[in-house]
Amino acid sequence: MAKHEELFDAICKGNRKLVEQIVNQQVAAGTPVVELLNDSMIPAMRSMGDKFSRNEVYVPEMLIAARAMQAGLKIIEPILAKAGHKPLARVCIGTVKGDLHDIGKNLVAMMLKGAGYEVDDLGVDCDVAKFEAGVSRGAKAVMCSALLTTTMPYMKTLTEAMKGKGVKVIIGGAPVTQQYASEIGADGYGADANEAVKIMDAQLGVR
Amino acid sequence: MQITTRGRTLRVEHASGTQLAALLESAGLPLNTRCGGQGVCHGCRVILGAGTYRVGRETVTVGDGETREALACQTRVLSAEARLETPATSLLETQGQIVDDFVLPAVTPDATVRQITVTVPHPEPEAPASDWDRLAAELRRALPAEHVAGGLEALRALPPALSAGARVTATVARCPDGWRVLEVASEAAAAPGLVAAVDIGTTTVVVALVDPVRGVILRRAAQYNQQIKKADDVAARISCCQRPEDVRHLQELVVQQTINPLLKQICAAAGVAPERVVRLAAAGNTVMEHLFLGLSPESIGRLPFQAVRHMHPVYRARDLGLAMHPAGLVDVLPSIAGYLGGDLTADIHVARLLQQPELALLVDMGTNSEVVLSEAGQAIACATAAGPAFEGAGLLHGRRAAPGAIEHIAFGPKLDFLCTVIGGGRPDGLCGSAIIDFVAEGFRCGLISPQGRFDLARLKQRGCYAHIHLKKGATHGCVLVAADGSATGHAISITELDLSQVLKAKAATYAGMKTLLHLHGRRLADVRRFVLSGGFARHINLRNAVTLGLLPDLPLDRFEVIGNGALAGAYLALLDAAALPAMEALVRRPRVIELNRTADFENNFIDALLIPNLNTEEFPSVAVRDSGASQPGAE
Repeated sequence: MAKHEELFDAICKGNRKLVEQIVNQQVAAGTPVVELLNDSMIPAMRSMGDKFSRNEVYVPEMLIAARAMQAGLKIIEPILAKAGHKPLARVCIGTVKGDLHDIGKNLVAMMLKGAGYEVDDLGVDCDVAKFEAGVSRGAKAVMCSALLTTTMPYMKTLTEAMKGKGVKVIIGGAPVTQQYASEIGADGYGADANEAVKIMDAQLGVR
Repeated sequence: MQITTRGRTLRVEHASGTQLAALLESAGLPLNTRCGGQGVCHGCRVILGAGTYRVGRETVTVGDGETREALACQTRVLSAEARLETPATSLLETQGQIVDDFVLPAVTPDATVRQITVTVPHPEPEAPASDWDRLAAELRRALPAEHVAGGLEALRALPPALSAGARVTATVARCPDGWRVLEVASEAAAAPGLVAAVDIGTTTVVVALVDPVRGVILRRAAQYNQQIKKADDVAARISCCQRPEDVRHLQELVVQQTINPLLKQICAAAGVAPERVVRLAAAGNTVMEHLFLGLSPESIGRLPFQAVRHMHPVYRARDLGLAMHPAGLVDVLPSIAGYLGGDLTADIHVARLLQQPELALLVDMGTNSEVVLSEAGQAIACATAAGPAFEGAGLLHGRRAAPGAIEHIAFGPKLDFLCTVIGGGRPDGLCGSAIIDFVAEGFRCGLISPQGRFDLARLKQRGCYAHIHLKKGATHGCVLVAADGSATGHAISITELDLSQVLKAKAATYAGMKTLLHLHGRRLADVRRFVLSGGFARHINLRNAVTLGLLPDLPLDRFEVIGNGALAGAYLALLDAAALPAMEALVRRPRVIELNRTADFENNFIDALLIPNLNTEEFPSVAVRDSGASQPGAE
């Protein structure tokens, strides 16, 4: 199927109700959901991400679009699961122990879902055990964020704990830098939500 | 080794051992290192000219006639000579006039500092009593009080005072354990004792010199909290307290470099010595109060956000290094939680928020906004991170509310911008109240879409379009004041990136209020009394703040602007002996909510990212125009 222009636009513009309406109509009409996802929905979020990187849209519009995408995904996810659809990969994400600031983390999670990943959102205040549980559920990468330098050092603890488990560790958040990521031996660093997706693509060798 | 910048040559030994940002600061050119010099905020951008440098881990040689952009906090100079350009946008503003005012409830003055003159009887041979015992007996009778204690300074001054005559003036201060004698002098030699109220803001510090007898504010002065050299918001301030010496340094910045100069300045203006200030009361957010006392705020920065202390004993001025009376006392207002400080306690107390039965909401708007809901004696409170956009920071041509800043903007019929400048004259930037006007006016006439994007065709048609290149990339901008009309020689513009910052700030504030009301089972429209505190809220156009979607769409007469509640609370702590105990009693009242743990918050936040809101029915008085094709997001 070709791109469903109306659905693509509705996601980009963040019109949650319209996205739900179109997806429901398409599902009822028998359109294969994998095509909806791959030809219209994922390209819409990827396009928003690229615009974000080019400064053509900003965080507010990204959040609104990501939430509309999320509403559409919610409808098709159970159908995809039944059809045995394979996501790009399964990844888990959370804010580190002691940190409750999750708006940035949530945007990254939504962007990853929008890019075709299966995301295991571990929530806030995650210790090593929570991330390990994510890995045992099949995550190929763990992503963590911190807003303050008071909680940032936990990323080092986490990175060390993940050594030898065969998973990639990708970090981000306001005080985090590429230099810090290199210092603690993390596999990747994303300065913003779109970069986080690109790093994930590169680290897992997809696309 | 010599470094040339801004027409000056700095000669330094061993410059390669020190970061460029620190070198420039010590040479009197402090740069904006608001991320704490971690290379994150890009506030200290410099243009390197000919020379050899270490930038991060890389060695860089810049040839003659070449330039390279770098962050001063990540750069060291290696060559014997270096030339660099320090752009004005990277220089830290450290001066400015912040006008402030507050509204006080009716109180019966009962100052916590008094001067009492008594006649100390001569010792009687048949009933011997020490000098102190005879003075204390007279003071107990005159005050009247059960407990009167005296420090060593007062005792040392007693014999000379008594030898001058039996009439002795004692400066006494009321403390939880009774009265303390701070100073003793003969009646003829006694000088008045003054008090000082201090608002320690994350950005701005205000000090008021008060005559405790009449309750009159003699002088008031403000300046930026010098800690902004290190970091510009609370989170970043916590982030730069990793070692004990960092905490000491921040304490020194707020006491020695901010409060003491203000004390000296207002005392000089009032014609008194700073040593005449015998008591000081300070209010600030929990982190600012910690740093004022030299306590590490680190544990406030991670779960479960615990402070070192919320209720404070009376401290001694000399332990804090304050420029006041050597035996002077210091009160610090009690805080509620890690992110709900003594400034908010003061607001609640000053507004008498918990004393009324009707549904009331108090919002202290700042970099970190606090919201308190109260109804029939029940209270809920939360903090919400708005970011510094409303204080002018983080905007391309944003600046703090000080002379030279555009304070208000109205749109003329031909899309001409009518700007009001603080202090008159040509503007050099715009402050938070102006950006609120601009977005509201722009939205009303369709120049700005609900998503915070410009109608580019109209901007171009009107001739005020600018394509602005930022470090992150290019953005669309609207020229507010052309280069020939500004004080800086360059145009003053507002970019789409600026608009996105404003949307995030207003969304965080509105979502915080809405979430709190929802938790209480009510809606914003039910609020009968809406109290706005903080310096920023004093200057905003309420109608425009509603149009933007920052404030709820209530009849404007339900809003009450109380001004600087923190300063008012500190003033009352000194002038009304019942105030501090009342504040200590109220800090346990509010139930404290973590917004991030509240399911609705994020949805409310995203809804509020549109102008005025995705749920336009929450803003019935704001006409949402049909902006044709660009009506995305509306549902």
